[in-house]
Order: sequence, then C-alpha cells, then structure tokens
Amino acid sequence: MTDTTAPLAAPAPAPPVRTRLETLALYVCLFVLLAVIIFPIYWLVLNSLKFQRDFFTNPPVYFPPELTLGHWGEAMGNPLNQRYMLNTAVVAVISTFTATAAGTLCAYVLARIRMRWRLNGILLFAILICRLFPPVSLAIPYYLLMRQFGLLDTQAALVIAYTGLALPFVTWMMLTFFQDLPKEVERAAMVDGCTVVQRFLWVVLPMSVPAMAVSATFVFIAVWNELLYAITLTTLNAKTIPVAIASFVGDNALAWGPMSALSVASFVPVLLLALAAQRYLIRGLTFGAVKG
Amino acid sequence: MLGRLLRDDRKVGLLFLIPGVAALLFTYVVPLLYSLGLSLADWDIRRPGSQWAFAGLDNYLEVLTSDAFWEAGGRSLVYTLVALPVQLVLGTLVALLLTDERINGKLSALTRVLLLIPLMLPPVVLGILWRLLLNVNYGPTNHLLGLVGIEPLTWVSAPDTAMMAVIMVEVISNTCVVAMILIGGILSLPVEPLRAAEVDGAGPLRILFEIKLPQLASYYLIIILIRLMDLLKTFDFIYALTGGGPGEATLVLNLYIYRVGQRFLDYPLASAASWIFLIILLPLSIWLLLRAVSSSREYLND
Repeated sequence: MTDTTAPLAAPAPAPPVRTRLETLALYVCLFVLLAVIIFPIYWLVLNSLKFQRDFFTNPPVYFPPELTLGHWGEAMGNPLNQRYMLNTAVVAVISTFTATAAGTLCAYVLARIRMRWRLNGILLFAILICRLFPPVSLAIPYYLLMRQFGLLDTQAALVIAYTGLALPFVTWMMLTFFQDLPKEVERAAMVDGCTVVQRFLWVVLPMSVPAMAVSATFVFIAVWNELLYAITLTTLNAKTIPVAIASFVGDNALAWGPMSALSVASFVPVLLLALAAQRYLIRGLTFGAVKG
Repeated sequence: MLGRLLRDDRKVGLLFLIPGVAALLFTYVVPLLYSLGLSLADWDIRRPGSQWAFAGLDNYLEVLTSDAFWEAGGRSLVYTLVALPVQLVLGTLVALLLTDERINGKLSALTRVLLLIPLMLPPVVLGILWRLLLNVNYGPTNHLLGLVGIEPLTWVSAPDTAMMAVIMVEVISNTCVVAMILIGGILSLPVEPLRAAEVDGAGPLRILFEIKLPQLASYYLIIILIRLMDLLKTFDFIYALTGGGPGEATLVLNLYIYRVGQRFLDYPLASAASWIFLIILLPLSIWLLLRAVSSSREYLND
C-alpha cells in the first residue's frame, strides 16, 4: 500500500520494501490476535450493560447509544446470588489454605528427608497419579459418600473435595521448588543443632513464601472457577457462582443481561489476582517442571 | 520425651506427612475403592431400600457393549487429537509473533499480559460467552463473517458443526497457554547462536527449524503433557457451551459419564465407565510420570 513510494526514492531499496511489508504483515497478525482476545470480553461486558431491546437484533448492536446498570442490579441485588458469591469466596479461601499448608509440609519432607521403606518415591508417585485422574471419575463416589455422611450441600463437602483436587498440584509445585532451593543454609542450621521443625519454621518457610503464594494463587483461581464438583455436591445452601452461571443455560436461556453481569462479576476477582501475580504465574504454568 | 521426638528427623517427617496423606486417603483412596465396589454392584438408587448386590463384571460388559460409550470415546479422541496439534502450531506462531524484534516492544509486552485473560476466564464463563458470540441469529460471529462474504454457519446449534465449534473455542482459549510457556522459552534462549547463524546467512526459516525449535524441545514436551491431561479432563466449558448436545454431538467421555451418573442416576454403570476410562488412561499416565519425575536427589538426613 504505502510502500509504493519507497522504490522511487532509491534505486536499490528492494530489501527495505520487503522488510516493511513483512513488518506490516506482523502488525496485521498482532491486530487479529488482539481482536480475538479483547472482542469476546468486550462483548460480554457490553451484554451486561445493554438494554433488553438491543439483544435480539440482526445485525447485532456493537455500540449501543444507551447503556443500563439494570442487569447488574438484578444479578448482584439478588440475595441468592450474593449468598453464592459468599459461598464461593469462603470455600475458595479455606481450601486454598488447607491445600497449600498440607501440600507444602508434604513436599518439604519428600524433598529433604529420606523416609523409611522408600516412602519418598512411593508417595510422590501416588501424588502424581492422583493429579491425572479425571475429576468426573471422583464426582460420583463423592456425591454418594457425602450423601451418606449428611454433607451434601454443605461448604464442608466442597472444601474436602477441593483440598483433594488441589493437594497434588501444590505438592508437586512445592517439591520442585524445594529441590531447587540450596541446602547449605539448612545444613548450617543442622550443625548448630536446629531440629527439623526449627529449620522448617525459621529457615525454609521465610524463603518459601513467594512460591507458596504462587501455588496458592493457582489453587484459588482453580477452585473459584470449578464447576463439576460444585454442581454435583450442592443444590442451594452451598451453591457457588459457577453453578449459578451454568444454571442460566437451562432455566433462563434468554436472560442474557443478568447472565453476562454475573459472569463478569465472577471473572473480576480472578483477573485482578492474576494481573497482580502475572510475573510469577507464567513460571507456575509449567508446574515448575521447566527450569528457566 | 518430646525433645527426643523432635530430634528424630524421620518421626517429625511422618508428622509433617499426616495432613497430606490423610487428605489423599479421604479424597482419593476411599472414594476410588467405593467407586470400584459400586462398579461391581447391582444397585438402583431410585428403588427405595435397594441394597448393593454383587454383580461381577456385568456393568463393565454393559459399558463395553454399548455404542454410546464407544461413540463418546471416539468424540473424546477426535476432540483431543484435533485440538492439541492445532493449538501447538498456533501457540508457536503467537509466541514467535510476540517475541519478534520488528514489533514494538511495549505493544508485544502488553499483549503478553493480555494472554492471561483467556487463561484465567472461568470455563463456565467461557462457555456462556461463546454461546452468545456464536448465536446463529443474533451473535456477532456470523454477522462479522457475513461482512467478508462468508455464509452464516450453524456452530453449536447443529449436530454436524457442533464439535468443530467446541474445538475452535478450546483452541482459541488454550493457544494462549501454549504461547505463554513458549514465550518464556524463547526469551531464555541464548542469543549468540542466533546472531552467528544470521551472520552466516541462514534464513529466518532455517534459524527457526534448526536452532530455535530444537532448543525448545523440553518446553514442547511439558506443554504436550499438560495439555493432553487437561484435554482429556475437559468438562466445564463444554457443559456450559453445549451440555453435550445438540443430541449427543459433543458428548465427550467426561460428559457421558456425568450424564449416566447424575442425570440417569445409574451410578454403578457410570462407575464402571469411569474405571474403563481410567484403565485406558493408565499407560499414558505412567509414561507421563516417568517423564516428569526427576530421579537424582540427595536428602539432608543421609
């Protein structure tokens, strides 16, 4: 397009034209990528703010002249949704805490102390195997067992299920972290007569806070977003936001406004958390399996 | 007494292991044994007072001889084997684009942060969102495609296009994961061999295939392992996007098991199906474990 002027300026600028065309092509690709990422989010936010009359039109309304907060009021003002939001937060916070604490303790022992009966290898293998199970194979026994113990539709049931879901992940991630952590400081503490507990609390724990924070962030996001266990184990009292959103599909397929508002509302906390921790999350994506 | 206990590394180690091991016991071992027992039983929750009766391998035979199970398995296979290579290729292209020196550094850094959005989006929201985008009559996708002259597509509302649409949504959202991991890899590559190759006159494609990609092999291995596991576990977003439908067009194995269990309340049959699924996954899992577990280690109490 604009590159036609370049050859006139000098007799041998063929490479620059090619380079500029290539750069242009790269920017076009970048633009397409940005559009694919941003447009869906824009559409969701827009749908949560559109007036009802702007939904079912063809062509769709991309820039409505007027916006409304009505759907937000309907979604967030509903006491049931407020309760689901609270449930989600409570369950996510508690299970993040239990999984991170138990997983870190496990990982520390597996990385540092040779146990009897090759327990290190056996436990590590068991934990990794657990990570591979499709949750759907556990959902049914969970449902029937929780029913037997009277835990159906309680936050406790979800906390138990989510702790189990997250524990292998935390253990694996913290294990790779501890294996990379230099042992010299701990050896020095050992020479000074510190016990395992003292070494763990005073030497290791302060160094591990960032790694624990990263794995906790991952766990929190996964639990906050989880649908399968929540939809299996809860009906009303302990229902979480993903279940509430999914139920729009069946019952209220045309309530696009409140559905979008609730979706955006459930995404915002996760997004803020992810943006705050984004530098560390990318490394955690590989479960610490790639050193780099 | 307590002092002696605290001095014994292994005993304290056992104490440290208790919470984790107990959690694994209650959330994996017990439920899996329960599900194994259930899969061998004849039991109907809908009949009041129905008791477990040993049924041998009846449920397994019923699953293995039912077309629905194999069709769902086939759909899982198609879903996984199409989505994985496509997102690997696209993820590589995106990673190369965002590490290209000809693109403004600030812009590509910003885009890298934006890649987090599809990654963090709750799967349910992803499903809902694409339900809106792909709506045949009122969705923007068909309208925008119409602007460049493409006929409206049926997407998730017709059985013959639904699987393609589901795979497309999966690819769009998880190409970002692939790209993010690869960007980390590309940025950590040593610069000297690349410069040397450029000076020697190697073209960009040769540099890519003979220098960059081979050095990223370990990253690709990890990506394939992670994505493979996740693809075989996918439930949430398909549930929200199509619910397995229309008809059974997108009923992958996970949704099939869920449907047999939670909708038709045939728990023994669903348990048998999930055990067959687990047994099929086992070779893959073991291969994965051998790859992932690092072997050389030294301990503090040696």
